[in-house]
Amino acid sequence: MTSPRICLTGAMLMAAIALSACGNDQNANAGTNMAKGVFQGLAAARKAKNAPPAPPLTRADLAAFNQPIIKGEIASTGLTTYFVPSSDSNGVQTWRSAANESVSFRNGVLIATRGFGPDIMQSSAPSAATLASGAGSHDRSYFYLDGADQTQRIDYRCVLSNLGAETITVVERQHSTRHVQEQCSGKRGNFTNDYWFENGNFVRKSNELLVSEWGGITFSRVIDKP
Amino acid sequence: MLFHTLIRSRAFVATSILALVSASATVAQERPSLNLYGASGLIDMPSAEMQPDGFLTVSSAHFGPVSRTTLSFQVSPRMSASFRYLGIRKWKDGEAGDPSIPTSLFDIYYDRSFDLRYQVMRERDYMPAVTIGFQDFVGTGILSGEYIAATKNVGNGVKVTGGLGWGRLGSYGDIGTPFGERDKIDIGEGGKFNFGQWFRGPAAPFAGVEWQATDKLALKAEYSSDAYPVEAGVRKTFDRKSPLNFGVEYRAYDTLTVGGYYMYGSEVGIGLHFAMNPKQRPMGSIKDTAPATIKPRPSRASDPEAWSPEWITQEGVGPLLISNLNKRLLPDGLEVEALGFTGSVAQVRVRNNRYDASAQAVGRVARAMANVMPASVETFEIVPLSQGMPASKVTLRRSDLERLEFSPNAVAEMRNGISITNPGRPIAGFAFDPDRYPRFTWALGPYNRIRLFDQRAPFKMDVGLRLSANYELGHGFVLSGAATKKLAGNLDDAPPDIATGLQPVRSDVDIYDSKADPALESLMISKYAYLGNDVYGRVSAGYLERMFGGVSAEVLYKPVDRRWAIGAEMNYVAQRSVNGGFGLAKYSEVNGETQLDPAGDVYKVATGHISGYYSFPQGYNVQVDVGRYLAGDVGATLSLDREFQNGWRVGAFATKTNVSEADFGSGSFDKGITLEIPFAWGTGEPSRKTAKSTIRPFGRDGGARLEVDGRLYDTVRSYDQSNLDGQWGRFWK
Repeated sequence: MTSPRICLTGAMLMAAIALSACGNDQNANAGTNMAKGVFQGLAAARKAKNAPPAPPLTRADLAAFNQPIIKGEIASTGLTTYFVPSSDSNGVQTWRSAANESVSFRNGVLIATRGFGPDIMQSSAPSAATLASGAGSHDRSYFYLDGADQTQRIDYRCVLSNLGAETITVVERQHSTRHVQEQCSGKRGNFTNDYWFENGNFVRKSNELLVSEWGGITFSRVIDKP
Repeated sequence: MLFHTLIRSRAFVATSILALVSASATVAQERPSLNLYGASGLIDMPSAEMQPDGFLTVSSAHFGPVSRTTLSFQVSPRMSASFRYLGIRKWKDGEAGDPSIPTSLFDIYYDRSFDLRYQVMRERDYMPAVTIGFQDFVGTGILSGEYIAATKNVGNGVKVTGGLGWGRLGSYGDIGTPFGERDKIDIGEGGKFNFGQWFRGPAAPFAGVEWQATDKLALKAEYSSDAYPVEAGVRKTFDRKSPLNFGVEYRAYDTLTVGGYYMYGSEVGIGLHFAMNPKQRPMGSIKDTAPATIKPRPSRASDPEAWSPEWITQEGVGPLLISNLNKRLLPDGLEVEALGFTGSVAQVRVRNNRYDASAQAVGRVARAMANVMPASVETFEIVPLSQGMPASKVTLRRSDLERLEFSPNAVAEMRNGISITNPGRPIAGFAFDPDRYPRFTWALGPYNRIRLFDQRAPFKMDVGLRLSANYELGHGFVLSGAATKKLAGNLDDAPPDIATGLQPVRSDVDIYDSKADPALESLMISKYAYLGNDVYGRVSAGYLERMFGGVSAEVLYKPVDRRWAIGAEMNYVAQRSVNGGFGLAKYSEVNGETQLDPAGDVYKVATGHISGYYSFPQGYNVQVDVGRYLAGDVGATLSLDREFQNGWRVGAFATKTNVSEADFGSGSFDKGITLEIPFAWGTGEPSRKTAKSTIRPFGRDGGARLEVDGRLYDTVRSYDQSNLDGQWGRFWK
């Protein structure tokens, strides 16, 4: 039988080599890079655990970028990221983060994402005006890709309710808004989206479903114009 | 004699371990538990249940002297298959003082076996599920047994199983011999179908009950109809005191179940059962950087100048467009190598180094073209390159891209508007980017080499460094090579050589394993070309693989929109020196046995096959190869596999040639199982890399094929219609 010592030595060697693969052929080293990624990920996670949390960016910090900014937060993963405008076509505004995630809105309502993994590939969503009305019901459909790259369509029936005036704070600045809640139910469960409208139909802040396993993303429109 | 089967056996396994162990995330799906044979069942007895379709499970089970490691695959919703490696310790214990027992050379008896099970009836309101099973139906027969089992859920998490077993499953407490006497086990070289024994001999009932006490905890009890006549009776490896077994199992993770057992009134046992769902990536949809959004053209009315086709006459516009496309595409691992255009049509040839899903590669190229090409270009022709050969052509309308990007029905509507055809001819103004060639890529990284089931140990491994390099002289014209240096391992512990009546075309692999270090694995020049009319060609020459060098030529006829293909390959090769260098080995025949001999002759052989391929709609692929094999034997190989949309493949193959079973040696004919695991499945990020393994219970010389890189069918098929359609949703990712 193979002695355990030889196996152990082998495994350690593999690990050592794995960290030192080189060359310009990425595919040839895919396995090595994968192992490297895992090690680095673990190391980074450990480091992150021990490090103090980074202080949140202030309005002054964000204003220095000199462009419109949406702050995005995913509560379930603890991710905070900032999006800047990337394109505006066919009535759809796409914003992009430094980490190459993107979110696309039609009049301020999220309709697609990319770069997160479980992305909203396509969706049919109500208009901002419908949502701002704060009353009535409508249908929604989301299209995702599953782990086999097959399109999964999930339909929901949603009801709107107006929760009234609320003053919210978006990175140090207060806004007078109207809070509208959208409660949706479907075969794959329920979710609730929240919208805080300012000056009629402008979505100052929202929490909108990304995917049921992750929950929603909270979008705060921090800087509208540079 | 049983130990006869211990005669040399081995398998060739590539680097798949990393991918196998990477499946850590959820497999949230209800599934039956496994028994110690790695089949759906109780403890030592099977049940009538099936795993969810497509599941792959690995079980490692141990009690007393018995260890079994089993890989099982749910081939279809009703059929499952297993491959098992068995070890029984204390094999010599019964020999002392009993001359009637054959003397074994080894303390541990090793064996391999295959099972097949078919569920003839699913469980319904008042009816149990019923399954017929064949255990060790093509092996040496030590585990041979057939059964019919019925399982019914009776509520409150309790399920009850009852069955009738034959063979070793009919060896305890039989109720007679309903279908006549069982043929004696005729091992011979083993590895044959033992038709003459199925459901013959004494039949004995078995039964058991399983209670799912909590979500994670299950209790099991069974009455076994297995007397362990050889293990307990003759060889006295353990004391079988009772037919009753008890177990408790805990599902630690969705993917992992651990069990503890009290077996046969005398032994304790443990089981580890690991489950994977190849159908679904554990991490779900691929995580990739967001693509560029599509910039719509200005309307023709608002900007007629932008729509003018005048641009095509501009000096240097072709190279400029290629450069602009590649600025966008290179970060995505895509690279435009050639461009042709008229005022309204643009055709690109593009290399895909990154995307496992060809549809996503096409989608990203389409986005880049929509953002780069002048407005007058309405038709995009995207021709993916594989080994420098155009593999298909996807033709789409730019206005569809602009219109559909944020449409809820974008996936289906986009697909309706495209056509997938053979690569056809280049269009007007077609020119390759002169800066692309020659190009040199290299990599230095670790390798491992595994030998399974040699007669001394079930698992041996070397690790070391591999330097590989590619020098591309032009499109589809590649000089490539790889060399290895071993750092550690035990493959040089070669098992004793056992003669066969054939040239040792594969059975000497242990000599190469131990002597070829450092080794030149390959050094060859290859030319790939699309010859037109759905015909592809390849010629390779040099040191083609570890054990053979020579020339290899292949043609393939593969229409992109058909499920079949046909190809032919001709090779003329010589067996390489066992020291891994540039020389050739010499052999002479001594007493009817071919042996290495420096004064002998070089072994040369013409080998080749006609191959037919068919892929059925549900992902079941069939390949038939007919021709002459490396040892000069003539015959055919049948390969079957199940392929999932994400690229996972699980398959089996068998080769029968005109080599006699005696000349072939253990196993009687060549067979094995194959696994291909896409890295993207484990990492959740796009990659074209896959890990491939071939596991042969007996690696012998009959029915052996040349292992040349770049065979055409797998090279071009990932861009055909069915593969593009299989992952079409990725077009918009």
